[in-house]
Amino acid sequence: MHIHALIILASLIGINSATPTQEEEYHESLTLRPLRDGKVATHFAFTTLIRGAVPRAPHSLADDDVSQHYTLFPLALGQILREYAITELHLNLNAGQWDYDRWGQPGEPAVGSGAELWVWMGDGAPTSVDARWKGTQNALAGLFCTSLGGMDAQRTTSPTRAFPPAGNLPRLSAPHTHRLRHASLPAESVCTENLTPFLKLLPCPVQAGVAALLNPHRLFDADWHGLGIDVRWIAGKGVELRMTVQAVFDPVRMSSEGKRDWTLRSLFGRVIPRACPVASSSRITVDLPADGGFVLLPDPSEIYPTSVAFNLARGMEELDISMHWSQEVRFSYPLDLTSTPISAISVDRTLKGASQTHGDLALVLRNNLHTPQRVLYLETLPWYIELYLHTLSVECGHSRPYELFGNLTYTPPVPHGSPTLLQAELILPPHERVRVAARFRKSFLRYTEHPPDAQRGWDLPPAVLVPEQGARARVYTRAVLVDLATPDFSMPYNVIIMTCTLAALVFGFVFNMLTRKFVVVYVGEKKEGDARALERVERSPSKEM
Amino acid sequence: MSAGRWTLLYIVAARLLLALSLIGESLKEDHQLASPLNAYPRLREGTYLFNHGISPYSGGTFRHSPLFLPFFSWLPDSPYLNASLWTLVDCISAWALVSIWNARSGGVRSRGVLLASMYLINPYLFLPSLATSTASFDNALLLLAIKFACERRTPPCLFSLAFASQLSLPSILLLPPILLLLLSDAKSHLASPKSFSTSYSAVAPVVLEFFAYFATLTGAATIATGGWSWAANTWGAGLILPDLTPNPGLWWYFFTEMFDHFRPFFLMVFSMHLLIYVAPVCIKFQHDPLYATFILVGLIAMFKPYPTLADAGLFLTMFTLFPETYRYLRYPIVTALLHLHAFLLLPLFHHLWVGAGTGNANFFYASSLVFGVANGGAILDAIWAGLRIAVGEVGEDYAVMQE
Amino acid sequence: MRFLFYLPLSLIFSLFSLLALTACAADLEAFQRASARARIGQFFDRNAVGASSESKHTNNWAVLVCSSRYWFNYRHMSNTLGMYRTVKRLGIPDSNIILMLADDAACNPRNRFPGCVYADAGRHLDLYGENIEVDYRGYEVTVENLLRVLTGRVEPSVPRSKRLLSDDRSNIFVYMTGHGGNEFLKFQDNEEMSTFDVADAFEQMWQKKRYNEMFFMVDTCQAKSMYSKLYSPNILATGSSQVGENSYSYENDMDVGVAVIDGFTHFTLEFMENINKTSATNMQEFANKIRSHADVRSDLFHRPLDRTLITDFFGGVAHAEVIESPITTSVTTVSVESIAPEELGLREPVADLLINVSAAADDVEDHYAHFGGKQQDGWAIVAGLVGYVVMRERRQ
Repeated sequence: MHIHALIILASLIGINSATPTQEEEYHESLTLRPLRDGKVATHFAFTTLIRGAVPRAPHSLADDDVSQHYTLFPLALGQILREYAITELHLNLNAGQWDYDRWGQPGEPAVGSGAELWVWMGDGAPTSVDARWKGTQNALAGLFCTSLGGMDAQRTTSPTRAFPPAGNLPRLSAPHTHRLRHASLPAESVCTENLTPFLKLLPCPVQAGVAALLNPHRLFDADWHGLGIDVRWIAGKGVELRMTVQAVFDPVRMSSEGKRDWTLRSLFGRVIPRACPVASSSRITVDLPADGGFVLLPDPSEIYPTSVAFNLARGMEELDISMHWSQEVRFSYPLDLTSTPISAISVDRTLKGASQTHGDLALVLRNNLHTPQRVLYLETLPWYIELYLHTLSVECGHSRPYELFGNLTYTPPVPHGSPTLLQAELILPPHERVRVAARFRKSFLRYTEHPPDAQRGWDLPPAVLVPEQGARARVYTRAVLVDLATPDFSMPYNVIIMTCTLAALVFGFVFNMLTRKFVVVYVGEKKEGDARALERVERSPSKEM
Repeated sequence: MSAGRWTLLYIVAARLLLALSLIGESLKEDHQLASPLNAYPRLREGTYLFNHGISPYSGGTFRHSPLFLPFFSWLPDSPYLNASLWTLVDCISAWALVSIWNARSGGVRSRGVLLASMYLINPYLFLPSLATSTASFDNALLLLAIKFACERRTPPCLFSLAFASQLSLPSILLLPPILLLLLSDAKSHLASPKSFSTSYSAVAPVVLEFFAYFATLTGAATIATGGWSWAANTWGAGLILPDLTPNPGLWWYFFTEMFDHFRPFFLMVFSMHLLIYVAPVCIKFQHDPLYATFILVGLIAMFKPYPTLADAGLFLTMFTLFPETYRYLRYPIVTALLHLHAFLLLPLFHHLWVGAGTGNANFFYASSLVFGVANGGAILDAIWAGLRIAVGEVGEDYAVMQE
Repeated sequence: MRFLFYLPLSLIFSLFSLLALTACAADLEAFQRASARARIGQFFDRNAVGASSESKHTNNWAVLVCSSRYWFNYRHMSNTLGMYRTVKRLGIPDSNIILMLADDAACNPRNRFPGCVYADAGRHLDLYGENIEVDYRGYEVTVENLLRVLTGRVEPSVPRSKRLLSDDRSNIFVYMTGHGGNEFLKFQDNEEMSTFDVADAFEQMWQKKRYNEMFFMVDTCQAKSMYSKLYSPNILATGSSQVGENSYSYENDMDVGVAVIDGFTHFTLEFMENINKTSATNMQEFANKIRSHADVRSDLFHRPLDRTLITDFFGGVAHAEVIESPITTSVTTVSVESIAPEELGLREPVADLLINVSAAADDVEDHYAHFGGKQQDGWAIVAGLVGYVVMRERRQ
């Protein structure tokens, strides 16, 4: 029996070595960036590349898929990509509000709070793009333990201008094209159950490499944290999967002395035990803070003007990096954080108005650069927020320069159906505040459309700004909570009964009067000899009818 | 100029001043005064989208008839212009009402000033006009249709009615009584009922003419907007109730609280319920079709999907056309007090619910029920009085009742 | 001559013996394979959970439901997570556990201990841990979804992790906790699941052969009413309280700030802590130990309780099947041409930025294709109609 098993094993190996395998590469990196307000931004990136692979062609969904063999690429995700012929997929699960003014541009641009999913898919498959979109959501919801199934047609849009493909799209035979589907769930929570399956997709989870640092108890204690999955196809290279984790830690809060010193162990509660053996490259970069006066241990392997790098090599020993400010007794917060933003654009979005029927949406933008900036503004509003486009106004200082705003595309909302989509271009003059405002109407929902905690309000997805020059890294505004009028949830029967009673009463009385004859009845003193005292009068008009 | 005319002029001037004071700006989206089908901001949104090449009917914000689009695309969005326009429209309505009275009374008794002022100062009609709700246009067209019918001028009557039905689909239910009115006369026959006696061959061409106008207007709307999407958004809204914005009517809260699987059934029931009154009322009041029109105006105001105060206001103002019925009304005080009650409660409870947040939806629902009871009471009393009048005076020891 | 005679004979013989040998070898191979399979089977059976059980089941499932939302219902989350930890510890894998949590207690902003849920006042044991899979959470925890999971009537695209893929050899443990009353359990303070819904769902499962035996446990007020209407066979049920009786929380943690666990679940878990994968503790002992006024309902159950192991429901049965067909892989390379970014028309710069509203391009093009082209025609028709009416009016 053992011999047989050996033979089978050998033959399997033989088959494996005989066929040309797709080349797979795995790179991992961690970037640590001490921030001005004493916090530390961390950015993990795990990149798996299948060389020469292509996304599944949509028309081939009619046939059985050619079998796939992955070594490093996660099978569970690969199956979803093949099953729904997804060309490009981006999923983000974030919690908190990224503070652009204090923290600058994040390592990964997708920092909108809650869950965000967008997918580029080719059409021409036996099943519709929307059916595959629904299937993708469900599959990812199962894989990552999220409630992505809530991304129904009421939340799905196709903002092609703000979300162009990050990689390349394969050419499809005419007339088929690629379609974008985008949805976000701003109230989606992110917790250990999302990180658990995320880590299971990595070739080296927990035991080795930088992924060993991903400790849920520390990660979800961070001021801001987010998970990301990005799959794209790069022509001539292959299919690339990029999994990212970002978190902003606050060492000042975590230390008892109020110091901003940090080590890997103080941030994550762990250190890196050993290098990931299958990683082609594995490095840790530490961005050096501008103010100096710090000590970094141990000695890095590479030194650049503004950063240093550590390469994790096989056979390395346990690694813990520490940065401390030996002169500093206690960290003192700089007071000019908001007045000197380090981001190119400062943005704030607010809802105004106390009424549950109407409100005003205001977006205040500030260009922090010396040159004018052109940005694309994307607003996705659920159908129950009906924008009055004719009230849209642009203010810059005291003037209303409409030429700053233009090239607008708009999809009006359909009640109980689909959301509003507004994409427009804005020009931001240097060092100026531009205020975009519009009035909106709040809809009234059926009582079955309200969530169980209806009084909490509804989260509006963040607006997105895309600078048209440079890296075109998206900027997300805060997700705002909107209060909608609620009906009474406890008495549907009463309402149905009372309204029907009123209608039935009127109906009954009307038909009573229309169908019965008028008679004149004697109601005076009883006449002698007539006990019934009822007298018909010949003038009754009804019989003429 | 007579004193009466001066009075009217004062009223119109006062109204115009109030309208020009822009007091109505804050009322524009008041749920009692403007429904989703006739609110002014939605009309402006529609014309804005229309002017920029987006179909206003691709979303749910704009539910006005396409026939409004060319006029309001052309008209600048100025509150002063609107104030004048809506005052003018109300004056036309008042004038039509006076003409109806003249046709009915044969010009014998002059109550024109009273009638016109009853239209102009009725708060149910005046406030929607201040709020620039297009309900004022619906009312004006309806009154014009009735006026032309009383004067037996067939083409303008049918055209006005076709236009009114285009703007607000339930108005088409007034076609049968208005047809009767066209073919008979507007004189009061309530006291001496007689059967309707016109050959039915005279009816057919008039009906055909109406539907020819209606079809032409529908075709024009379809061609102008490049498709049928407008029909689903305007007429369809009244059938499937996609917008549950509160109003003083009975539909919105009923369908807010309705169980999802019963919704289509009850939508059908509520739509059918409107239809069911037309034939019986027309048959019973065939001797006085103007009165049948009046009763149906009241029933439609009460049971239509998106009513505003303006609908009930038209019914209440039309009461002044029938002074002969007043002495036979059974409980006018109760009805009046109920209306007063509803008129005070509706804005108060609406504010408590959606403005202050200290009351819940049931408050406003309750006040809309009171309003419904008041309307129902007025309709029932009007039907009673209209029938009772035929029996005439009876002796002190006698009472009139139904078998 | 004899040699000549023997030669063909020996040839025939040798041929025959060769044949026999090959046949023998084939026999031997088949024999070896069979014995290998038996030995593999033996290996797994010997090490299987519940080896001494009388139960006929081959796989175990658990459906754990917390139906309460909001932070102050922390204890319901921890009840369910305590059960989750127990069944997982006793061998049911995550793929066979359907965990429903109506709120996020672990990463709730009000939680002082992010990523942790504790079930005891000293916070000794973090139930959330570092390895957890919640299948239905938040708004997804509805009566409808639970009934769909139980009866298997789910949409085709629902992933395996959200399905109860049980069969007629499955033992299922169903645990529900939340706020309830006589014959109902509230879901998210919004809807109720009645005991009749539960009973009918279980009957449907039985008819669809979705379980072999079931253990139904409820921790809520008047819990006994939740299983009083069950009528399907092979169901064992227990709960925290009698009809007309409340269920109470067990203890508070001052740092968490709310009650951390309910009494019934606390004592159940305390009992379960002493049980391991190979434990022979039976249901009778469990019934005797738990502090509940509501007893174990066993009238639908066909086996005596003292011969039913705890691990029949809480443990996982592992069975391995040996398949013989080798798995082959093949890789085909396809060459695909990509679209240039400018062809997509997404990034083209716009020269003139005056207000220029247009409908969003994607997917709605057909809708707008003819829009606005014939406005004048429409208005001309209306104007013509008005003219016609006026003309007729004049003629009269």
